[in-house]
Amino acid sequence: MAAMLSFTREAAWLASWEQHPGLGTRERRSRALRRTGRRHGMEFRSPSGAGAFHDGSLGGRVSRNRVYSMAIRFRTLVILFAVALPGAEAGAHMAPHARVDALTLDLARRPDDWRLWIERAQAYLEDGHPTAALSDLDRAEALAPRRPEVPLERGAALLALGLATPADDELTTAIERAPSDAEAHGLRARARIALGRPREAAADFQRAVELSERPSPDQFLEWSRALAAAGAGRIDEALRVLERGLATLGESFALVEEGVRLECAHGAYQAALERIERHPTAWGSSAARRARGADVLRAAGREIEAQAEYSAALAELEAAPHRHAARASSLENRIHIALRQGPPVAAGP
Amino acid sequence: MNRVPAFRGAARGPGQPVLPRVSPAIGLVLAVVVVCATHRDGSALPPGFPTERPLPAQIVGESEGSPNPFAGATVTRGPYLQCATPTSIVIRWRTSIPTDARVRWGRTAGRLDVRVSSVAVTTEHEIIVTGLDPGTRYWYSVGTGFGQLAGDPTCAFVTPPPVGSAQPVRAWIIGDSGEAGPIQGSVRDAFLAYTGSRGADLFLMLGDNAYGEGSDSEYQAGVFVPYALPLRQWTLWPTRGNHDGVYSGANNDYYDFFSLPAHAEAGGVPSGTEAYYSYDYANVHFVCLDSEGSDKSPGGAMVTWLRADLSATSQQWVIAYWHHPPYSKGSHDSDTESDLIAMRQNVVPILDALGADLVLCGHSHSYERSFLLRWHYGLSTTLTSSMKVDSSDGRRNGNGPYVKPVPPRTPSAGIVYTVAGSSSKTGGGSLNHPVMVSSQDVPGSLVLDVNGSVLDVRFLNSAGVVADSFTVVKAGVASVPADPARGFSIVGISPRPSHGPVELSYRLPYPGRVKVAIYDAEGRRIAKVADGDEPAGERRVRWDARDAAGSPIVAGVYFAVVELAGERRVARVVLTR
Repeated sequence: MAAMLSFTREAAWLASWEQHPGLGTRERRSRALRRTGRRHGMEFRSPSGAGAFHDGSLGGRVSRNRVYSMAIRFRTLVILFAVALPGAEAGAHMAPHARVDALTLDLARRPDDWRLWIERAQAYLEDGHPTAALSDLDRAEALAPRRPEVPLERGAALLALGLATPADDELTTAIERAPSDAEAHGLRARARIALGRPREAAADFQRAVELSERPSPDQFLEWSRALAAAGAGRIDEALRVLERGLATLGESFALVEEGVRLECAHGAYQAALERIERHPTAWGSSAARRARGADVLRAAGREIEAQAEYSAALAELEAAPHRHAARASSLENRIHIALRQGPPVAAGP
Repeated sequence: MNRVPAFRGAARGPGQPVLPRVSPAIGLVLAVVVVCATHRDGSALPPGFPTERPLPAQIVGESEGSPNPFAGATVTRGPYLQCATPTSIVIRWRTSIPTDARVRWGRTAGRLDVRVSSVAVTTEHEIIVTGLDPGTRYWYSVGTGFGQLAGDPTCAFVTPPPVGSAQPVRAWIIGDSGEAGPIQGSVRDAFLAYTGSRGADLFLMLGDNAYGEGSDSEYQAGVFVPYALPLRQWTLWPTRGNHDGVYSGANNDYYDFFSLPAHAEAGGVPSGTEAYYSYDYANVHFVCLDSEGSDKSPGGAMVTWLRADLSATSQQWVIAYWHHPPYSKGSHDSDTESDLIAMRQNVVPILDALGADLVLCGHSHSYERSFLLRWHYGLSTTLTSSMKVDSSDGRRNGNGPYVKPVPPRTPSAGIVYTVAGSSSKTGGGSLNHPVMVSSQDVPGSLVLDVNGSVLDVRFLNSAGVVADSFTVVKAGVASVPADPARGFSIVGISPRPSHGPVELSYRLPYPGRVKVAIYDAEGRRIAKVADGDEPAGERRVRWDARDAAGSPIVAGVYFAVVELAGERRVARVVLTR
């Protein structure tokens, strides 16, 4: 049974290897894809395919068509064995700790395969064992001294350990070896945030965005926050990054809200109100937009105006044609509370 | 890729060649091949379900008589439906060679009398059909300006009903479904037999839609071929799993294959990304999250968006879904795996606080279903009795349905969590998570039915047997006291703007002491207008635009404040002189 299981894994590895040189099992390919920018919310897809394992550099994209027919043959073999061996099926869809176990078996048979050491390092990292990952990466580096994947993964492991300085060094090496790797830039930016170097981090975040084929709201948020952290003098720049994100992605609540939050944090309440008005569709409803405006007015000390906006938002909600009689929205409840909790207006004559 | 709004003429994607329009008066249209994707496993469709059959070639449209530059084109993927709203839908398909695009549709199968075209020449076609009526069945065909390529009677859809309406809703939900083969086929056919001619209104995929890496060919084999029939009739709303890889280049990964409402096209708050999105269907608000590639931290874009989206919805039901389950002891363990833990710690508290009802996940290749649960954000060993809103089985034929309160929307009223990751494989695990009522290592899918204030979920195994079920009922409106302040509002101020006296009308939901006063923009009270007990109903008062001393006040913006039992409503008053 063990021999059959091993053979199945080997067949799976071969199938994947034919499709994606440099990889192990199909799961490994998936992990490699995740590695290209999935960590902590980054997901990059570089125009060059940066991040996929490929002989020579991180920058090449694997051609699937070239080896497709052979891969199909191997896959058929894999499926046949997967059906015959229920236990083997999990090989492609394992939990991280199980993947560590499976890779350990693979490594016992192919200890000179640097890819397997990296794969197991990734699995260790995902399973919350960065120290074990570092050990495997040392073995990988001994076998493949110039591979860019090694410093990239090592940087990620060191970051997970909170060791930002060596992480920064490793990620700098990774970038030197593969300058178009968006994830390496994103990870180094985080290392530099941890090191209190937000200006340099912002430059890396910018590079990561520029290298990503499909930038995400998260990437613009991180870039903007790095600039904001660089000091009051760069708030305008941080806001411009958010605008750039909106221009790239279209309306995005998180980016609009970040701008409002940033402006309020710096006392630019009128600018925040204008931002809210400039993005009327970001809030999902006119009432939600009014309520957010009311929050800003209240923060600005314009209490009576805030209450007027809350009241108007509430009236809109209560008059909404689609409002379900059996369910008040959380927004509605929030506005009720805001109107009850608002400071009393000043006593007059 | 064509992305063409109906009635807006043709558009061309960047870098795509456009063939010159051929005069309708020239030549004959040659062969147009009609291709409809078919079940590859030869499985029989259930009685009553429309059968697929290729139609003979048809020549339709204004290009009749012209030489057909797209002769030999066939549909190799789809048609499939995306992003349906009560008045619009996206129809997509792929052709064997680059062609232009045309969709024809109508309310009768044989009479597709409305059309929209795109002159962009590509293999990836995406046409937005607008101007539809809610809750209406339409038939459609796809093709080129020179003829129909696919459009048999199975090419039909029903638009969603008006948002907020209490129409019956049925969704078919599959998870980890992307391994083509006999299990996938039997799970699919079990549902088709179960639902019969009722079909479904929505089609949800919970991730790992195409094994092993989500490549184009794997999506073809794992999604577009085996689910060809559902995909052309029921709008697909997928989420992404860890096997749905992303790739460089065009038209080769999850994000390329699907058109998802990043900008609140179908309701909700715009996320700015197709990775996570929300939409409304009848009285249900669906929230699709991305547990695979997006930041799951509290300050990240997805969680920030989720808070706003859930806060804004007033839909009766809220159903959230993503790939990595917050609770599972199947082939994945929610006590040890970081993605699962992150969703439980960062997302579930928001769902609790903002009143979600049901969570659907996959990842573990099994079926697991919880009781009505709240506040459980730690390891499985930390479950306490206070977290069990209702630990019964929730079955109609068992302990009875779970009952949740209705207005006001109650935080932490409990959520049922399901794992449905066995739609093409099963995967073992200890299956002993303490929040679960049912844990089964058998293939199957979920059938969700919402009918007004009643929600039913059934786990339908691959043999067509309902192997588990539960019901959630929102208690009647009358059983829970309404918010007493609801309906208290300032109805109007006139005239706007005013040169002199102002009439203020307001509505009181119940009798009480009412104070009406005018304040300036700095919050200083300028004048008292009314102070006394008043009956419920609509009331009117008049302010003479003078201050407390009786002097006319200067032009400007003022605020009328009406107070009733600690509640306050405020409206702007503009005075001009």
